[in-house]
Amino acid sequence: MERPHEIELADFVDYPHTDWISGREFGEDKAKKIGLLNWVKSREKVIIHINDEKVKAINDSFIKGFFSAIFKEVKSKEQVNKLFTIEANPYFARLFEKNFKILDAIYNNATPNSK
Amino acid sequence: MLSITTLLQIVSNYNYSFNSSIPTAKDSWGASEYIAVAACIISALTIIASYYTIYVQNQHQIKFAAFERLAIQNISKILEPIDNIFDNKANELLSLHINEITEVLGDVEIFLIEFKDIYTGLEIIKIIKIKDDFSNPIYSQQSNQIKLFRAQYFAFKSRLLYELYLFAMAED
Repeated sequence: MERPHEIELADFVDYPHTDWISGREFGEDKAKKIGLLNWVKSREKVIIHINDEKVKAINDSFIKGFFSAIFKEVKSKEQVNKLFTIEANPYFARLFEKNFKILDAIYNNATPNSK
Repeated sequence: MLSITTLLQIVSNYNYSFNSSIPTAKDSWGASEYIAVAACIISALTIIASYYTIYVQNQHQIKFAAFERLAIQNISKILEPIDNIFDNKANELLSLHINEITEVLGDVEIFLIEFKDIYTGLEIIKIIKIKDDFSNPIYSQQSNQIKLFRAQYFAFKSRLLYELYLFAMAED
């Protein structure tokens, strides 16, 4: 079995000058540069690490930007969860889960309850 | 507009003044009778229209009150933790509370997405844009005291509630 791709979000911050990540466009741009959508199209798995020593805060606008093309492609939160693993503290893990619900509702025009 | 009672009074007076004999089957209706009957019908329709208008207005008020209770009051409740931060921790650095603020703003979005079960026409994208317009700039200024962002927060809250009120009005 192929090894999953690994992304460290701490690489997106200019630590120690900044310790936060924000912005929808920033997220979209990072996803494009990595080629995230191509991995998803070929159903390759991805692990996202968040080193909370270096990343103290993530605005959900970044998460929405980073995953918008992914949700357009695979449509459901369940599918995204099959491809992506978030390795982070409980706060960040919850933040991603919450935003996956929101993206799922936006791109599937459905509510979280109907899933 | 003439009421039915007034019109009946006019018709009655007319009969009393000009036609004291009992009408027979052979008597045909003149223009005045037709006008009186037409006036009665118009008056009845006017009353029905008035009642309908009152009914629609009441329905509108009920719907609006329901929306206010379901959406506005609940969103205000969800935002309370941020209100408390701005009220009680104004001199602290924003960076100390940015994660709590982010979490609460996410809760607002989740609430509105669930809310779409009831109000299907609500455009979540617009709400997210309003939220991003508030949260993106404050993220880049986290080393400042919370009190510096008070105006932005209340502007965000006003924009959010205004958008919801606009939606509620358009719904009707």
